[in-house]
Amino acid sequence: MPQIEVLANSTSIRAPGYTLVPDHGQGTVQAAVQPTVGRNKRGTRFAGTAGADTTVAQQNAVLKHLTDLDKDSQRDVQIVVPSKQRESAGKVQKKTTTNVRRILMSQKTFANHLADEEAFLALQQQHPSSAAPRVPALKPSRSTPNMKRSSTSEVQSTNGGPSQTGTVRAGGIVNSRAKDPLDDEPLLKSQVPSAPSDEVMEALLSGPALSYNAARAAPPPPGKPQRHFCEICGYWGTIKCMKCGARVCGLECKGAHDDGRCLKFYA
Amino acid sequence: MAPRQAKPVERLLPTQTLIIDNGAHTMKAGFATSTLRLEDCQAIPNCLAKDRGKHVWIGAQLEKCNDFGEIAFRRPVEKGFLVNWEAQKAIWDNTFFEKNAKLACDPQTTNLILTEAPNTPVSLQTNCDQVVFEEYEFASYSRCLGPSLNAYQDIQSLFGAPPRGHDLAALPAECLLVIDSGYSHSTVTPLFNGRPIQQAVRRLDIGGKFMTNYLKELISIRHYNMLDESYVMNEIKEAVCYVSQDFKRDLERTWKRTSISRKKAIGDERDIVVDYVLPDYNAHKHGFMRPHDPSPTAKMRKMGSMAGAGDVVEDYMTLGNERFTVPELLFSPGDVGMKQEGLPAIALQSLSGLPPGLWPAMLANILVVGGNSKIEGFMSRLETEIRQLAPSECVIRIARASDPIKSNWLGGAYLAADPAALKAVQVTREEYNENGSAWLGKVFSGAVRR
Repeated sequence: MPQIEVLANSTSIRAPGYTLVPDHGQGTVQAAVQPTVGRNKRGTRFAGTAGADTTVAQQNAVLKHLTDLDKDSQRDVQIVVPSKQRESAGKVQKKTTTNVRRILMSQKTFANHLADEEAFLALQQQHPSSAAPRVPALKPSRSTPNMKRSSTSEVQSTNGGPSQTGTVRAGGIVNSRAKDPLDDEPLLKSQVPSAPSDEVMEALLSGPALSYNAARAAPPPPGKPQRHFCEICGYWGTIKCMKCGARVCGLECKGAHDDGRCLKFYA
Repeated sequence: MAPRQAKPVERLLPTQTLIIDNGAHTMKAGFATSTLRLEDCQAIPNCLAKDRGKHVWIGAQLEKCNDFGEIAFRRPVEKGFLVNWEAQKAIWDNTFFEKNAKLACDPQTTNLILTEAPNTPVSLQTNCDQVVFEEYEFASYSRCLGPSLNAYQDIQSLFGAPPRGHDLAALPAECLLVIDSGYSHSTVTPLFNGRPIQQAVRRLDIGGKFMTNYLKELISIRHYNMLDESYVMNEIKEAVCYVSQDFKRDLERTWKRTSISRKKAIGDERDIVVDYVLPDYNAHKHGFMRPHDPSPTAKMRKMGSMAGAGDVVEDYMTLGNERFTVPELLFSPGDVGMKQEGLPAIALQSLSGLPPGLWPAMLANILVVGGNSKIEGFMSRLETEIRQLAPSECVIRIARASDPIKSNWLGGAYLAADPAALKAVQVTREEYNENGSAWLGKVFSGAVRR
């Protein structure tokens, strides 16, 4: 599922009276309707640092930071396969097929392969006829496990023992014990959802693999505030640098930040 | 080319089976035996490494290396996916196919079970198939998701059930939710009868590498510039990091200006702050952790070692909240601005792609594998959070594999020990030569049944 995210617009100017903001449900609208009157000049100048929203530049900085953290090594290292190794391998393997030669010579990185795959998927969507027959996508169930919490049934519906998995295979609940007169009591009815049929399971299991991007975990629901930490000592980042928007915990760390790490020296 | 005929050819597989769990950090490789011991599996660094003296080490040779200062790595597996076959071939040749190799074998008389990460791009899968059959010419081969092999293990005994009988040995676990937190990323894979439910696989882009880099960054700000010391940082991470059970409280406890009175109130607990003594490769000394020594003599010793005087030469750094803010990323990726949910919530995200009838069985059979699960406190935090998120009627049972790093491999060994099950998944080289690599890709993705 593509994730759509509204980026903050660096050119937007907060004018008193109205602003256009994405509506996330709660919080943001309220803040937008009541813009900070009297601090407009500063609000415009430090549009990114003063408000809760981040600027494009800051979001880019976060993304760059994340890619840096995902790197294998800090610098670009060039380690060639030792030539002795290559020779001996060449002697043993007398012939290589064209496919293998192409694969071994390939200097493609994962990013290249991923771009190829995305282009292929886009092509498939444009010309569905030429593509391989797609298995009809199973409709994901609307309800999430989290929503089940509100269910009124207090009956322990699962017994959790090793026999648990056995009940699923049988396609229903195997009730071996004697019939109890209280079994039909609606309050005591077990709310266990019925196990899916074999056809449903087969359709699920034979579904195609998701693409790399589709399998990425979804973002948390909006409303949960992001935690900020002091970039010097790691304690709660309660103070924001007015120049660059970095977080620090107190004056001492602010001093350290200004000395060496403030990104906007002459701002 | 002769027309294909539907003749039932009796396929006989060789008896020797090689299982490779080709991870980004280490590859877990070994031959399957009937004893099913973890000792048959070797974790071999899956990298080319260049040390300070410009010497290049290949894979298992790294055991003999004793200077890891400023060592640089080249890894054929990128983000969990086998990308660079030139480097991978060098490592495989060194491990399996050269004379006096560690796990020497003749591919023509060996079955290969090779794992891949979930959601591998198709082009990489095709490359992999072609190299295995056209370059190495293995007798038979199967490519499967690493987590899915776990289903063949005796899962119920991990949850406290008695060991299963021999009649059940070949049956894969019916419902299993595998949480695999490795070097490149963490994935959640639901399995049904040993087959992955691909539509419900989810991934968190944080793994051991990410956390090591984060720790490296924090220490480079607070102590020394460690940006080129990935290996040392990984060792420090493994030695000191732990998952906090109460993040806010631990953060307060490590605040540098925590007043003495408050320190006294919680003084009976073990102090979080520790010293890590850095390794000294000239003196062949390894790094180690020890309780924090706030006395001035310790500081003096450090100063002395910096000046080159003094008899005790050691260099250490004091680590406080770095110990738990780093693994905290697995549970709260938003702390570095990553727009993904934590690992427990991702397990629930994965479940939401399944029919509700499967949730109770999946939640009662959660298996955790991968090196990150060895971080102290990881399991209990995961269990607590899944318990909070999951439907209250469901029983949560969560277990860590006996050896979380080699668990995928061991599952493969169980699979290989059963000839009928093995034959069902393996594709022989003759079949490949007859049908081609596009067909093979469909077989492994389940689109074509044989």
